[in-house]
Amino acid sequence: MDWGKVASIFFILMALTSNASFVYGGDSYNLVITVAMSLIATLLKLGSRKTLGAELMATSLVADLHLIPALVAFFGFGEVTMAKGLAIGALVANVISVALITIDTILDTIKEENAIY
Amino acid sequence: MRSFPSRQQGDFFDALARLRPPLILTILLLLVGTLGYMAIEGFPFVDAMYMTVISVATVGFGEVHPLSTGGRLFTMGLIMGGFAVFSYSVGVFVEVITRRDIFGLFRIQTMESRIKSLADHYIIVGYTTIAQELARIFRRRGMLFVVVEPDAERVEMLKHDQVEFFIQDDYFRHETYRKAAVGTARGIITSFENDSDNITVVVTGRIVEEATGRDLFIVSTCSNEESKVRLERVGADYVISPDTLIGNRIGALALRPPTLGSRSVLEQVAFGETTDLDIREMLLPEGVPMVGKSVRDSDLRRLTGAYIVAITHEGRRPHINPSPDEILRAGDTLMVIGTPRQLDTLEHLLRPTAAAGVNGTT
Repeated sequence: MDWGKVASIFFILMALTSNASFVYGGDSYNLVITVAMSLIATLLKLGSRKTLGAELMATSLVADLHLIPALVAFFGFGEVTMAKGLAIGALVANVISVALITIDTILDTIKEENAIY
Repeated sequence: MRSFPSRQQGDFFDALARLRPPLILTILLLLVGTLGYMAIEGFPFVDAMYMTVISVATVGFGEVHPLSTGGRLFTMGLIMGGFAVFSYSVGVFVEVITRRDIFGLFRIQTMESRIKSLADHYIIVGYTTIAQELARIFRRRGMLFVVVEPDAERVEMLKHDQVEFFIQDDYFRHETYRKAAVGTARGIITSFENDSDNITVVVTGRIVEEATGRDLFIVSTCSNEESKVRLERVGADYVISPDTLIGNRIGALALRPPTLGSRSVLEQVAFGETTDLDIREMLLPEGVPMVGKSVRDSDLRRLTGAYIVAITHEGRRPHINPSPDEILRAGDTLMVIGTPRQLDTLEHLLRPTAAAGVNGTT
C-alpha cells in the first residue's frame, strides 16, 4: 500500500469533512481543525508530480484563502455569518479538489495499466 | 500533450517534498496546542494560539492566564513535542537549502519555464568543445539556443560559460526535446566525438519531428566518411567532418596565406565570425517581383543595400560577379553580401507573401 497516498487522501478528505461540519454546526473547534487540515492538504500538494498537480494545488489555495479570512472573521470580529459564508466557498473548492483527486487516481490507474515497462 | 518533469525539475520537486513533513508536523502541533488550551483552560482562540506558539518556540514569555494543573501538564508535553519538531525541522531545512541547493534548483525550474516560450532556436545536443565554440558564435550573433547535456561535469562548464538555457537530461529521451521546446525549434545540432551518439540524436530528432510536425534542420559532425553516409541515411540534413574541414582550411591558408594580419576579414566573414558583414545564399522563389528582371532592374541594391556576388541558375555552375543585365529566374540561388540587416531585408523581400504585399502596394 502507498502510505504517502493514504496520508494525502486522508488530509484532503479531512479538509472537506471538517469544513462541512463547520458549515453545518458553526463550532469554533471545527473551524480551527478545518484550517489546519486545509493547510496540510495544500502542503501535501506542494511540488506534486501528479497529472493534475497544478489544478489540485490551485483548488487547495482557493480553500485556504477562504478559510484563513473565515478564521479572522470568526475569532477576531465575531462575524459568524461571514465566517460561515467563506467556509461555504472553501467547501466548494474542497469538493472540486476531491473530484480532481478522484479523476487523477483514475488517470494514474489507466497509465499504470497501459505501461509496457 | 502532458509534459513530465525533467531530472532537474524532479530534483526540485523532491527537495520541496522533503520540506513537507516538518511543516505538517508544525501545523499539527499548533493545532493540538491551540485546541488543547481552548479545551483545558477555556482560553479564547488567539490566546490559545499565542500560548502554543510561545511554548513551542520555548521563548520563555509569561503565561497569558494562570494555568491549572492540567494546563501545566499539557504545556510540558507541548514544549517537549515542540522541541522535537523544531530540531527535526531545522535539520531538514538546512539539508534542503545546503545539500540539495533548493535555490539553485528553483533557478533551473524558472529557466526551464522560459525555455518553453522560445521559438526559432537551435537545440545543441552535447556540450562538446565544438558545441562550446558554437555557443560562443551563437551568443555573439544573438541567436537563441538550448544545450542538452546529461553529464554533471559538463553542466558545470555550461554554468561557467554563462550559457543562458540548458537542460540536464539524457539526449535519447523524447521528453528532453519537448523540454527544449522542439515544437518551435529551428533545428538540432550534434557534435559528439562518438558517431553512435550522433546517430542516436539524429534518429531521436527525426522521431520527435514526426510527433511534433515541425520541420527540423539537423546538423551533425562525423569522424569518417562511412559514418557520414550513415548519418545522412538516418536523417541528418548536413554532416560535417571536423577533420576534413580543418584540413581544407589549413590547405586554403597554405595556398594563399593572409596578407593582412593573421586573420583576414574575408575569412572571418566566411566563418560567420564577424557581426557587421555577412554572406548568405538565398533561393529566388516563384512569384516574387524580381523574377524575370535583370539584376539592374530588380533594384535590389537600392531596396536593400546588399550586393549579389554570384547567381546559380538551376542545375548550372555558379555565375560569379554577374553583369547588371543578367536575368533573375525563379529557382536561382543568389549569393549575397551585406550587413546582417541588409540581408534580413532581402530575405524578407524574397518571401512570396512579402512579395505579394509589395506587388499590392506598387
